Amino acid sequence: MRRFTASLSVRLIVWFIVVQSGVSVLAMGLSLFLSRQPGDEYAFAQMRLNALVVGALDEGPDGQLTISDTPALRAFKAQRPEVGIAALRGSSVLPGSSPILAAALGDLGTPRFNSAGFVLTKGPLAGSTVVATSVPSRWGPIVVVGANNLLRVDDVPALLLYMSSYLVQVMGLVMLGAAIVTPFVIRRALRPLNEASLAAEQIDLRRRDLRLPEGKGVPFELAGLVAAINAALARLDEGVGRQQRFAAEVAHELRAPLAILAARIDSQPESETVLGMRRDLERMRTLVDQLLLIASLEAQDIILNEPLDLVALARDVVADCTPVALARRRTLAFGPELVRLEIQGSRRILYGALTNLVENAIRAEPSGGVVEVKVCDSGEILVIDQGKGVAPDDRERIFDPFWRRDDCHPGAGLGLTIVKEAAAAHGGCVSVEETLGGGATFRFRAFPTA
Amino acid sequence: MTRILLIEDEPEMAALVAANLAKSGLLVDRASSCQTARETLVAVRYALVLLDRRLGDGDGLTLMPTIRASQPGAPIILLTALDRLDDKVAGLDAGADDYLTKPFFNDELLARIRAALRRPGAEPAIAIACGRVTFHPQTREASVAEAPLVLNRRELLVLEALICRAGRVVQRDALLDAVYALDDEVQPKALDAHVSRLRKRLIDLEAGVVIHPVRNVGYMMTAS
Repeated sequence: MRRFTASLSVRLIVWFIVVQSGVSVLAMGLSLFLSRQPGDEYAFAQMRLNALVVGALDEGPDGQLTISDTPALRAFKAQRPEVGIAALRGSSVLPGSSPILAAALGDLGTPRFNSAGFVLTKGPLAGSTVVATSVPSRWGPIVVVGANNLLRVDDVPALLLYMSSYLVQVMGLVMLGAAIVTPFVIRRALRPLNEASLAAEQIDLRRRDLRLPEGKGVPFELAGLVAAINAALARLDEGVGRQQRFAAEVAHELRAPLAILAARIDSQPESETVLGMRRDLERMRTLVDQLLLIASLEAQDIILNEPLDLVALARDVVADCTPVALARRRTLAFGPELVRLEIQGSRRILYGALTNLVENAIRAEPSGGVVEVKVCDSGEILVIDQGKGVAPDDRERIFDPFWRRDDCHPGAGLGLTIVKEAAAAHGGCVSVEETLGGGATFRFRAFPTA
Repeated sequence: MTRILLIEDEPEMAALVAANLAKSGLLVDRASSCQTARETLVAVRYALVLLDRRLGDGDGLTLMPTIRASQPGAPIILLTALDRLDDKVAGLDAGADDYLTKPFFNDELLARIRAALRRPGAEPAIAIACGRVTFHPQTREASVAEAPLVLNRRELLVLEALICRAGRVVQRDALLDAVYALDDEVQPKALDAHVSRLRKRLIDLEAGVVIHPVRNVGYMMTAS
């Protein structure tokens, strides 16, 4: 029901009927008032009488048409005793007519007429205004005659009802047409709005450049809304862009002081403290790199169509991570099931993502263990460690930004977010499962499934 | 002594980097702007130029033609905080030989300098040490604790390739390229034999270095 009343078509139809009916009644009343003539008050009163008399007509068993004594007619007679009522078929006065009026008509020679209005000048009804109207009935045209039937206030409702029956007949056709046409017109007129909502569904942080369709086809009533929404989107887009540039700029500006710090640490004689500072700086460097990677992933200013060999890239990552692994007394093993795997993507982003996975695995791997990096036949890259593994409940959440298993884990919790974003940017995905015998196995795909 | 020019406008950074490089036997001159760099470049001959891109009086890349003209054959390494891919491409397109993003440690910079100096046309490189092993690129002689290390040709090539990238993995393909000249018949299996013979020699001599195999990837030499 709620949906029904909320429909624009229903509202339009209802309003159309209400307004149109009101306007029609007013217009009819106004035209009657403007074209009024002397005697109209009798003519209008006659309309009610016509209805009463036709409603009271009845054919007796002998085939004689009479004005029977219906309750409505009786009530009218009781209310208006001065009114004379008669009905004629052809030139014969029907039984049930007022005897005085029938006599007066007889005095006139029982005239045959369709419609007439006149004043009697003699007889008991002398001075009475008489109105005769031909009315259709089941038995053919009947002439209803009323004398002294002056319009009174209590006739108005009946008169209106009578007039409205004509109104309903004419208006009914118009309204039926409106009811059929309106939903169709609305659907057509609102089609640009549907297109706009389809376009709006596509808009997210990755596709900030999209706007709702404007221009031809958009009705001007909607054009303002569409333009306003597009302007709002443009402002948001600009704001997000400014924020992304800000993040990139901050990360960038950190490089110069970090570079001085690195050089200063290098100028010190080797000691435990210096080693510790080197590690701290390494972490800051990683963080700056990660922030910049995230910024460029979000800003989409990465080139995703470099041709590259994923096997060679994975081999490079293993080679470059080996010094870190050996320093931590873990080893890396590379197991390619393919010789080459040509894809298109961003070398920088994929290298960063895989490095992240391998460095995580090195941290998770127990001392003396082997972290295995595998390129499967399917092209998926597996990074397998024998550490504590990831609890089933956490397997989705670990890819959320700033998620950390515990506070003593180094890093800002951005690494796996970058991995996920990097895979997504290439149409692929990353997931984690349990290594046979314990540990975590990350499954990374850098291309869409066929 | 190998003389290099460091063009960097941050005085503290320049002083520290120069001091750190000096410890490795390099003579480092400093220029703090495009203007002073131009003056220095025409006056002195350098083996290599370290160039910051963001200088007080302009983009370091505008110095490239001057460097190329005044220092023929001298490699150029860009040191910069700019790290977007197109910045790198722009730097390398402009004629830089290598690119190092700030922050960096002295070891990383030294490794890049060595690599750049080993390129054909570059000035003779500085001696490279790992553990108790020293390798002189210009004479292609190796020694363990001052005593000459005599190796056959292929083992020496393996040693050179590994020690030049000590602390980093040398991938098999790179090692094969280094050990087998173009006209040689490449024997992948034999490579492993050369490496294991070299490893055994170094252990016997207590050279203080370890050669780590990395399965399906390559080898890495570190000081033990």
